[in-house]
Amino acid sequence: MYRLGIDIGGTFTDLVLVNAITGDQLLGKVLTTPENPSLGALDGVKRLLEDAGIEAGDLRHVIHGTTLVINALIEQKGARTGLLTTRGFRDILEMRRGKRFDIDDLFIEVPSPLVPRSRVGEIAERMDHSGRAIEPLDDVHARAAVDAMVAQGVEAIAVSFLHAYRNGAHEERVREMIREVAPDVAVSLSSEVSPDVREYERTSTTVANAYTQPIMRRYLDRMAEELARTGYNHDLYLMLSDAGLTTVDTATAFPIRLMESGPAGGAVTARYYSELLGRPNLVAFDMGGTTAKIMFIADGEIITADELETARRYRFKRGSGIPIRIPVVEMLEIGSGGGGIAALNEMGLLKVGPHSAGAQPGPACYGRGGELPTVTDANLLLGYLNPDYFLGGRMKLDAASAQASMEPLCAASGLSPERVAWGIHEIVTEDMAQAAQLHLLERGVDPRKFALLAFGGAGPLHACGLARKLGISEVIIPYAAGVASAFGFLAAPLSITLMQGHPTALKGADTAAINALLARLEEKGRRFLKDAGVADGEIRLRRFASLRYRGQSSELKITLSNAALDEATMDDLTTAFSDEFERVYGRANRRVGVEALNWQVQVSGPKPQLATAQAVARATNPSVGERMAYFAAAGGRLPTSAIPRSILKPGIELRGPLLIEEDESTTVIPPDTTLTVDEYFNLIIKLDPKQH
Amino acid sequence: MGRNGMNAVDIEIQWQRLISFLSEAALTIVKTSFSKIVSEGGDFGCLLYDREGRMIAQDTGVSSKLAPSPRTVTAILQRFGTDDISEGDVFITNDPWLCCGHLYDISVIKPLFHHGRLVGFAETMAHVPDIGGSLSSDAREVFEEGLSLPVVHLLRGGHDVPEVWALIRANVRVPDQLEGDIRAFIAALYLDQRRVTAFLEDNGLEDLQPIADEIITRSEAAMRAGLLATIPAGKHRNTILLDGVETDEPLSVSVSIERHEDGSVTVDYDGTGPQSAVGINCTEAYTEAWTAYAIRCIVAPHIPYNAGLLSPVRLKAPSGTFLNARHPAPVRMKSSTGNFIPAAIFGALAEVAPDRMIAESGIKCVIRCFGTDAQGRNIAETPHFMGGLGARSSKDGVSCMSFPAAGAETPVEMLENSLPLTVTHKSLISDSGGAGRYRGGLGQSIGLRCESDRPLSVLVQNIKVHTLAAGYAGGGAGGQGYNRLGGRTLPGKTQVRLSLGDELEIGLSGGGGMSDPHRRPLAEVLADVAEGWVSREAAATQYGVALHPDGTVDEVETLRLREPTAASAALLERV
Repeated sequence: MYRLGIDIGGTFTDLVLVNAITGDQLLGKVLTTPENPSLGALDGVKRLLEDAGIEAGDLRHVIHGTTLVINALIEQKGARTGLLTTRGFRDILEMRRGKRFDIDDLFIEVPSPLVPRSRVGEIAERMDHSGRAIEPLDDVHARAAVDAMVAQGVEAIAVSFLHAYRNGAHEERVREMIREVAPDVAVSLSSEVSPDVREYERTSTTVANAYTQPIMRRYLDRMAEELARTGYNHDLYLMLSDAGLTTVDTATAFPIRLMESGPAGGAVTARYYSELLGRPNLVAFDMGGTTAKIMFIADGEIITADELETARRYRFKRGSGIPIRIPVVEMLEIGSGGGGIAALNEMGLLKVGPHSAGAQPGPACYGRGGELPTVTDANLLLGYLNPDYFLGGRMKLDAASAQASMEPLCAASGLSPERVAWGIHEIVTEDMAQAAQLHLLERGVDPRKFALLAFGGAGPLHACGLARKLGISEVIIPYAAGVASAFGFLAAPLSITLMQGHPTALKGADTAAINALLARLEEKGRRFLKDAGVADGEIRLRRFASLRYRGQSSELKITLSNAALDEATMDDLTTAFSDEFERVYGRANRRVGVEALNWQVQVSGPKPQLATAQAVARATNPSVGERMAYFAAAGGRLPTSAIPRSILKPGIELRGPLLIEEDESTTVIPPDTTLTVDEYFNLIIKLDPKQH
Repeated sequence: MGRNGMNAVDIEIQWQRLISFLSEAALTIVKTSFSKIVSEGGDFGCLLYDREGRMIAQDTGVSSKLAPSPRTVTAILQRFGTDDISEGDVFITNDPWLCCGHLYDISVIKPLFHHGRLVGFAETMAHVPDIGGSLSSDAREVFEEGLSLPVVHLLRGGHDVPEVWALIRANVRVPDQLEGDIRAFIAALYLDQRRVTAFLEDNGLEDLQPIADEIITRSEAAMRAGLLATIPAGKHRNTILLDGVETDEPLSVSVSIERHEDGSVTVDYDGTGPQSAVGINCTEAYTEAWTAYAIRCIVAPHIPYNAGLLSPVRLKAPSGTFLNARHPAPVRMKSSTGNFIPAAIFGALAEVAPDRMIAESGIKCVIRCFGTDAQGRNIAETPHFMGGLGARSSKDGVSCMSFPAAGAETPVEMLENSLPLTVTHKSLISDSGGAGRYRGGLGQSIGLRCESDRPLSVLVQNIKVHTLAAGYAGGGAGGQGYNRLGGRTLPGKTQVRLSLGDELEIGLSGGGGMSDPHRRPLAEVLADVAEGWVSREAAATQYGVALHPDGTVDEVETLRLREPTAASAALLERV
């Protein structure tokens, strides 16, 4: 029985084929074909099957993740979409939240709405905040608005009425009207896509869903068809942003939930290692050429959020993009990656990023015309990178160009090239640590209880430095981290998270109404899993409430017991909230009332049991070398062994400084650390706690 | 290489670390504050001072919390002296002449210690939703405006001073909410102390002075260089008009900016109107914050705030004007004049720095709502609504985004969940963006209907109902604001008691335009008409673009309307 994971990224499509019985893995990487991404993917599948000597009919599961949705949003290449709102609120997308997200920049811009105002229609209707219709839906007016919208030639319509999270009846009526006149137009209702309080965020999410629905439907139809043609005779599954798997039907209805399917695969990989290695708390650190980000596993669970922002006009400015409220693996972009460019600012101080040299022209040492000093150039000059063994030797790095790129900085700062290179390395690591620290604070996470799992091309190089700054004492570099996302797809369970906004004070809340609400969500979730073939006894149920003190503007997600709520459990919930609040922020205010904004139910099937990966040593460049590598703690360069990862066997124990080289990355192991290789060929690095 | 043997790398790392502490502190407040004005409006700042009271880093969501002069910290040092300041002390004050200009802005300050020695101060300055006092807008003295707290201990040796807490709680309408806010501010100060301790230990330092010296020296030098490069020597003058108080007679802000040979500037408000009998007055502290902010926006927006950056900007605001009112002048509505300081300054520099300009903007309108819920408990909420941003030298303005006051709007659904109001509409106003090569952002109209049979008191500060947001360089003014109740037009600053079914309509002004509207490319005018931002009439009268009934351009008429120059003919060809 074979399982196949396909992760279609912007540049490469990664494939992982696993024999579910033996655990044997076969990896593939092919170029993505942007015009029709399923072509490239299918081509890769065929080659991988040939390599494995099996037929498509031997595959039991094909699990797929795609950047289709996020690309459509960023490039504004979705379907021609219309929006219907409550009368008086057509400018909801244009007005956003009114926030000037950067008070110092007089020239800030906001992203254009996905739907222009000329394709926004208003409908006479109104719910109040309890979900009571204070103005009935005016049928005649609504039909006229629907007709006018359809006449604009839209492929998709989003319907988002005020307080529809409490009562979606008017939205549903409008959907019926659309179906009658235009059965082919995709319809997204805010009461189904994102039934939560706060009209701008809900509308923005619903519009983004509608905007991507037609392209997702076409894409999945084609993908399923082409897979079937190869002889695959089971269902296709899709990776959700919150690290669960879903069916084609759900993906077609709610494409917005697939927005971050690739990175979510990375989070599942992190959880897989968390379980395998018995490390319940992990920070997953992924650093590549143009970006660095982190995700979390706490108590063995992937930390998820309820909102993310896309299509930011300014990469690191919160509030400059389009908010999307979906369950999503929490990920924070903390830096610009190995291509980040270094420069002196107007005060003569060294800065790294946010501009990146990317792959073209790339860092100066790539020798492709780049002249500006980057993080990668600094890492080369510090002796961390092997100029003859970059990307497994497929590319040579030019140290002279790297050196030359540093000269203007040296002249202006009066520092030696080595000191400047170290400064770049240190500042980029410090910047990432500070960004990560803020994120940890938001989550109330104490990093000292976490291990750091690093992947991506530059992740293993900066991992120990980052860990040290965050007070983390253990770093793990997993085996075959180059295809972390696709691997994660194979370890994810079928799952769905359902939520509904229902603001209420906990004290004196109508528990019968909340129980009914939760039961409805649970029923819906169970039906989904059963339809996908999960037996009732295998279903795992988790329930949450988003709670806050009355008057606050942000919420904490608190786990509910699975028993029916009553007055006593509401008191327990109030206490649980204050306890969590105190854990996160250090102080609670137990005198203030607690209120809920929304209620959530997550149902998931069993996690697939992956037989442990049997790593097979690859036999490239098995020679051990030595370089002079710079370590600040030692005050200069130390002779440092450079060891190919492929010759490291389980059970080995070594002291830093060391450089471990593999095709995709180099792991820098500083002095005062210990490296061991575990039975799964993972590198485990222990940092000396005294160094913190 | 700097003094103290520090270099471009060390300084950068230490400096960024200090800023990041304050970002953490700010985040703590956003997440734990009990008031939307703090947590959603972001109306607060976290500041760090060295032991001499020089500000070395800050994180503020709003420009008015910059504290260019360390008045609060200086007051603590003067009143208590370094000997009487102990570890575990926390001070509080809301003195408008020390903090930020009115009693709603509270400052909470903690002296920071390391190895038993005073090394600096951490401060949180934040706008709280209620501070007691009369709700009417016609207070004649600051005494009527609420509880005044001189600099007093709020915690002593790490323990609450119960009398002060009791006094505060007894004087406000929402004691739990206010206490919750203040506790959040204190949590942030404790975080600052922990971070500063770790910072000093990590770097093997005894105090903050070495890094403070570097930050201040380098910032001051960069600021002077920026001033020299941007502002020509000599005096640059401007006068702008603002809505008057209680009469239609406008107020005027006069400013003269003189750049000296050493790169410093003096910003002199001589000629500005006298202080008012009602609370639209600014204290010197508040005027100074906006002045420093505006100069930095034009000259050096990327340099972080600190005492060095701010020191080349000297303020001269004649005492007794509404930009430097004397105690006990009423000051509650300070922003209704203070928010115009940046516009006055930009106007003075518009011709000498034409590529860095933003035309005047519509305003942020703050409404304070007080009532009781069905259980008879007090409700207090302060929603904000935004006007339109002025056009910039090279870009249109943004609709529903105000300047200089920032913050976020409260969602309609949250508002209706917490107040007995139905928002009947909330929409942009066509033609309210000032015409120009770059168009101003649009203002908006909001309807609020009272749904309660218990009266709801609403204090509206809509401060652009007579004057308009001016355009620059030939751009037109933004649309006018208004307040209406049942067909009646109300003054801009007004307090109403809404009864069941009453509907208040608030119109917010749009931003001014930039440069000649006849130079706006036809395609952009057509798009504006298609989207409804600009009406057909305005397209013709303001932009000189005539349309046929089917929406296509009437080229003959357009050529006649637009000056028949080669430039406009070329623009026409591009359609």
